[in-house]
Amino acid sequence: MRAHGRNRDALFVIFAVTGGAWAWTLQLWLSWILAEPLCFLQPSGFRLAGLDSNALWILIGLATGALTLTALLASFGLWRDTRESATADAPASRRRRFLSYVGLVLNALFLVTIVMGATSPLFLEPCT
Amino acid sequence: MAFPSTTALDRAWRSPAGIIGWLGAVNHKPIGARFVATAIFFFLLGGLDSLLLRSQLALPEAELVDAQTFGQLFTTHGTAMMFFFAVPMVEGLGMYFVPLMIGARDMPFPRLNALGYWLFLFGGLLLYLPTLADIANFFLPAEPLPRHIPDGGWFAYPPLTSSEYSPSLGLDFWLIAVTLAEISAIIGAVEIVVCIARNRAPGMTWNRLPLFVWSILAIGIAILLAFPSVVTGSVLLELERKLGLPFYEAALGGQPLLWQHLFWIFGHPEVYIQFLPATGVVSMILPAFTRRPIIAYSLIVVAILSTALFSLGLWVHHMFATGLPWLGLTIFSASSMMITIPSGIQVFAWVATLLAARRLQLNTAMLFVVGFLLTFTFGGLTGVMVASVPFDLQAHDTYFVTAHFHYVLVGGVVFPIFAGIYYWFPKVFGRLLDERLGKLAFWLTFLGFNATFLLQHNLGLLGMRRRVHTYEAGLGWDEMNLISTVGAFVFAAGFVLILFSMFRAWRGGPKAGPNPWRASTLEWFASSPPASYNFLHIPHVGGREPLWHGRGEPQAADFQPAQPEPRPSADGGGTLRSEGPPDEELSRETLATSLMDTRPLHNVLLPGTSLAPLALAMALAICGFGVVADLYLLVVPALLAVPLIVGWWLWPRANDLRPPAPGRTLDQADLPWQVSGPISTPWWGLVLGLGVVGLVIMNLVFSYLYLAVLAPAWPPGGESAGPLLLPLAALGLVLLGAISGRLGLRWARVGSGGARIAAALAGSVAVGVIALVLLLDHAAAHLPDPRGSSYAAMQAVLLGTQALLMAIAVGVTAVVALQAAWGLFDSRRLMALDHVCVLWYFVTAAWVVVFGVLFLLPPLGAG
Repeated sequence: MRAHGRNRDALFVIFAVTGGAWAWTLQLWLSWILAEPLCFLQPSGFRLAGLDSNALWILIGLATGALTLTALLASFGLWRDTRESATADAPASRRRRFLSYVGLVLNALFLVTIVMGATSPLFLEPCT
Repeated sequence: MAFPSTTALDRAWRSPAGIIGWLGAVNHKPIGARFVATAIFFFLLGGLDSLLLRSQLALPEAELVDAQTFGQLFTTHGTAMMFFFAVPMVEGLGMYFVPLMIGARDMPFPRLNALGYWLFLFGGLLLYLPTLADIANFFLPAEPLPRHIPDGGWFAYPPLTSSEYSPSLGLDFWLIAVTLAEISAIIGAVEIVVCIARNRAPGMTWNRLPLFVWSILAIGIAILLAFPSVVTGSVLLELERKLGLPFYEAALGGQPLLWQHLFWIFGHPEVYIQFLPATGVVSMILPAFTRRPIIAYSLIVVAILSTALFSLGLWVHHMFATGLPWLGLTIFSASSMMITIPSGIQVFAWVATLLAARRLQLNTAMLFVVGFLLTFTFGGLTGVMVASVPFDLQAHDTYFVTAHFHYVLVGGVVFPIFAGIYYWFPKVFGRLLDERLGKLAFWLTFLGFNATFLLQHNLGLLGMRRRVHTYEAGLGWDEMNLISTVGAFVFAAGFVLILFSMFRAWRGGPKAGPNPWRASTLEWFASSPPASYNFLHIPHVGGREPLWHGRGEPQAADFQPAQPEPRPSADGGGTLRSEGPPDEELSRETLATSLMDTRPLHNVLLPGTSLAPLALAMALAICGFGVVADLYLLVVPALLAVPLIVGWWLWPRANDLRPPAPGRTLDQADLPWQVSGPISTPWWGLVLGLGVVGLVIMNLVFSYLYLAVLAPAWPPGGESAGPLLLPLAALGLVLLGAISGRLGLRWARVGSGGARIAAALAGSVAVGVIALVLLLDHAAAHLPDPRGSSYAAMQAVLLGTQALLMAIAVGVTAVVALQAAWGLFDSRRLMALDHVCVLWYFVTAAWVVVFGVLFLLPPLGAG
């Protein structure tokens, strides 16, 4: 039971640090598939489940953005939790605080990138 | 128990004297130093190419070299600098210094390290072999040797590089050379990642890791993720050139743009793979000469990691002018803009550290750091400009881009490397470099560099194209080109001065002592040059600046052996007193620690001097050369030698089975040394290596889908993958092989006899052979002519890759089965059996993916 808890905690830390990176990777590949191969198949734009390619693009941005925001909040929570405990006598807590700080900044960077990438259909026609 | 004497430790770690000892050296220091020295050699060759290029362009309508030779020169220049200088240089620095910085005695797979070096060397020699032949022609009557210098640029875009438009063997030499270099880089990356993850000294937790080590870790991960794509692309291009398989030929369903995707998925991270360790060097030098810890350590770590991650998603920004949809370009433009933020964070942190210096020491290393800050910032700003799609479309393929990337690569990589040479030379050779010569060399290289490249921005904006061998007079380019050429020679003079300075110091410079800069990181605790075993005791690290105790002085009291007793006393510079008889037999060993809290987990026994890496690299290089030159009499014996050498490599020595006094040199006599599974470092190496092979397969699947979607019809008319029966049966048999291997492991765990374990493994071998026969039978009966369409070619290459994997699994399992029959396994010694299981799981998973793609996907295609 204790090992199970430790694993869950480790997964939470991994998500808090790397969640934004995974979300951005997902957005990049899905958007690229939408913009290059699928647009090549249907150059005038295509529809999937009633949505055109631009709407799908924005939807991908929203979903991956939400994932990154969740990771950002998780890293913030982790960072706040270690505010008191991260002393020189508690190396494990200092490590945790360091990782949460890394996650906090990484997720913020990826969130901005995802938002920048997701907004382009506001200015461009589908498959242009 | 008495701690071993330094004499005994040295005897265990030092390579034997003589040529065999030299050729068979596997320790991280000689291998790292060879990487660096060989990279400098290729830098010289690439530099000579660039001087010839600039000489040709010094004056308008010059005829020093013709257009063909100019194309060959910029190809070998770019290839040497990108593949054979920058990446091996930074990996070599990492190999030499990472174990010293993290408190390890060596890297986890020393023989692999040596293999990587020899592959890199032979790759470089194959690249320049045609040039050597051409030079020989110059001196011989009637030019008897064929002219095959590669001329497709360092990016080798098809269709220019197809056999139709580049019929000479130059491109084939280029492809083999680059493939060997990239495999070498991947091997180095596996080594680096596992070493940093698992061999850090107790107390060297992530928040205390030196920034250089962070940067090397980041590029190790980036290499593992990015380099398989260029290996895939190169193999496909060579198959197209040699066998006519049309992966990139549009008329038969191929796509030239597929090469650009595969190349730039690797090519863009490559730039950051060179740049990030250079920033790591700067982050090491600044604290030493400002007498203070670096400002914003955590933010710099974030910057390193985010730069490495972003670099993996920018590849399309090299393809803005290829006609891809605008919408697709925006997302890569966004990432290209964002990557400037982490770079900016690092620049601000360095400037802040400089401004907050307690006592600034502006020596040669620091001058190069300041030169780096100025030039790299300039290159970064022009990088923002070319990240913008409209500007890039204007500046594409002009000298503006040439100037931009030289500011990034020379300013951002070469200057920090020069700084690193001045900083670490005393550690490696125990001698100080001449400061006056160093400062002169700095000014020559700095002024020469800016004279060469600053005006090239303007030349580009005025419309001068890259890669043109001459230009007309009176276009307003003449003076700028002349200044640029003069600058190149001034830069070269500065570099020659650095080499001269190194030679002079090596011959008899002033002695350096262990820590001449009073720097803070662990490598300065070792003697200069470091002892063969690095540290007598594995240190226990107590802080981010382990050698500083607030006064900028090395404090031996910061160190304790990994176990509280016995505590050695220091006489300064890492030479600690020891006891024990000087003639005792010892093993080479280092400590494996846990990933997060660096808890000692087990003792890693390391192999000693071995000629197997050299033999394997030679066999592979001869294979490559023979295939290119159609000398199959060379290929066949070399190919047959490969499994024999691998078997020799894998066969355990007496010391592996019964090591003398395991744990003795680690103060950790009670640590286990026979471990298997995720706790063991070889398991990590295997998993990372298989991950790379998995990425090669994913790149092949990506290529298949890319071609499928863009083809008018996929499969093309009349072609199909054939019936499912035999491939499905092969899949079932591979699964059975995995189960049989697992059974062998289970029997070994419960202490069954060797014969029983060998029987289980023989079962794996038998079903593997049957599966292989079924697969080949299916291919022979149903595979269309792979030269007829890209569909058939992709089928052939996917099935061929799977067959090769199955053959490797069968071969390795056969060797391990022999070991089992020999009685080499028991309930504790399980590692090889464990690895066989992992290999079979991987082969099964790969076959599931390949099977799904080839046989289960619905018809695709734009038509």
